[in-house]
Amino acid sequence: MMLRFLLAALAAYGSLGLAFGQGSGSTEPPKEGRDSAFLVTKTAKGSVVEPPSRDEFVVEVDGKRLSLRIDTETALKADEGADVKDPRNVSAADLKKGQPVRVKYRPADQTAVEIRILKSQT
Amino acid sequence: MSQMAIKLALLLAVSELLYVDLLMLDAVNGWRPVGRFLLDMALLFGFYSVAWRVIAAGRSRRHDLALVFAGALLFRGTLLPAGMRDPYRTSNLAAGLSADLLGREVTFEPFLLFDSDVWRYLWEGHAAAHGANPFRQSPNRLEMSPLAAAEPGPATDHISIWPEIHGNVTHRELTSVYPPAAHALFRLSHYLAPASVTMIKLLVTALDLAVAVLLVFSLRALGLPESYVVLYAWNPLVVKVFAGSAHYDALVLALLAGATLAVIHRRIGMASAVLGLSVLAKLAPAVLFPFLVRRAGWSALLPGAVPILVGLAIMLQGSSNFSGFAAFAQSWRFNGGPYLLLDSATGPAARYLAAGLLMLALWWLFRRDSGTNTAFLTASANALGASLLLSPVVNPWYVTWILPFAAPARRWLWLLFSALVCLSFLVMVDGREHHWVLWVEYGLMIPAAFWLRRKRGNLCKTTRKEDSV
Repeated sequence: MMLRFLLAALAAYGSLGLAFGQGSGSTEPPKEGRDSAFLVTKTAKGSVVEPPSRDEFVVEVDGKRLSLRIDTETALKADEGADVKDPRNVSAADLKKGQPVRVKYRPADQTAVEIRILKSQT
Repeated sequence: MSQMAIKLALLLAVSELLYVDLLMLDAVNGWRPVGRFLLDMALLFGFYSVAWRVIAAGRSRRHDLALVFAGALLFRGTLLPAGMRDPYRTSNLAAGLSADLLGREVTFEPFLLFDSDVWRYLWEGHAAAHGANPFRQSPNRLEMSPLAAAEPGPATDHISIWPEIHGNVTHRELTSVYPPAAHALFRLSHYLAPASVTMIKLLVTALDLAVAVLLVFSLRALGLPESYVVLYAWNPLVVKVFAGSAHYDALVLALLAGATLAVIHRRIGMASAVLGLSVLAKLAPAVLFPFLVRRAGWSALLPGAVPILVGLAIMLQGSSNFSGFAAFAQSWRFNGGPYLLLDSATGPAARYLAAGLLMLALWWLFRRDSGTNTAFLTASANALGASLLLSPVVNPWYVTWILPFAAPARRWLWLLFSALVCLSFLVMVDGREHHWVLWVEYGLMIPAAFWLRRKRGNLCKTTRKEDSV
């Protein structure tokens, strides 16, 4: 019985390392401090009402104003055909009043994680 | 209508109110939303245990099973739009679901009730459908950028929402961590409705309900009341992780429930083949093969080996780098219990020690397996439970793997674990994992295990004499 078990378990054993490790996008290797995989983000699509001043800007989403911070980790991107100087090197200075944007932000600290300047429909 | 049916209907109604509250919850970081989530889950588990007591104490009738399934459908239907922006406004709900199904707009937030894996499912289904190899090409590879273009075209299925979906994928630098059967599900979802969270949720929920149906067949074959399926169908963790958060593990559960039914009908070859398929969806069920060998000898391994070898060949196609698997296997940690104790005591040797302890546990379970159907259920629940207890990563939805065995066999410790593991969501308060949570979560299992051992006789009396195991 011992031999039978050992050989049967051998098939399972080979996959154990992976079984232990097989995971999901929600987990990350341990880090000091907060783990970004567990910091909830939301997305909002609207237009810029107040361009960035002192690392803050305001967008209007469905008639409501949303004030967000920009930090050094905020990614700025632009769709092809969006009104920016250089689509490969977008900066906060490219954000202008009335510009359509899609923002991914953390509600916990009202910080923008990613700002994508969209192509204007007009 | 019997008194039992009235009680069940009341429990169904109050549970439904709590699921509506979960749907309305703004699931963001902070004590208030996470506390409300945990309170809802605690109350739901409370009503779930009362529902079990009602069913166990009464005489099972046809309409009780109908009520159990009505509740199962209603709870899942309620949480299906979870994660959608403003789902509780009827106009928003209909417009959001149709926009999502047609790929016109991303109407779900990046997190669906605190989980965000669904975006990788959508992306990997999309990538594979356009000839990419998710085991070799991570989402952030340059050659993948045409698939995430904002301009609609053949590479984007003529829809413009892939940049947003791509942006929601976590760890874009890593290749896929999902085995081939999972990819088949992602491809199917992509084929039916590219980029749709709703479609994935519908498929996952259908598989989850299929588990409940298969368990009814198993219970019937075991001579147990079919309404005992309530232990699976009304389990709040199951409802949350599948209908609410779209985890594909329902596929694993459906295959495990199918394998169990085959074992009960003494079709060990078929059970092995289905178990092999389940290993292609998640690797952990591989620990169950020894219990098939116990029943049918060596020949039991062959049907299971065939799908596994085919799956391996698919994964090894091209020069796959498996960076995702490697990262998880080497350094991922989350909500680990006894494993963390081993880790703090022995450091890098913990993995080998944990694997050794798991082998010992499997050997012990193998020795105790008497070859009966009930013994198979018990051994399988304990084997998967042991593999989770000794794992460095215990995501809450992993605990559902045990339930197709623990529910019909009424292994209370594992059913309790499905409730306690919800405490791991406390990480969502501030993005930090706290050790005291692990002590509470796993620490409570120890007195519970002793209590259940002492009370085993009494617990059997709460069910009927003919079905005590």
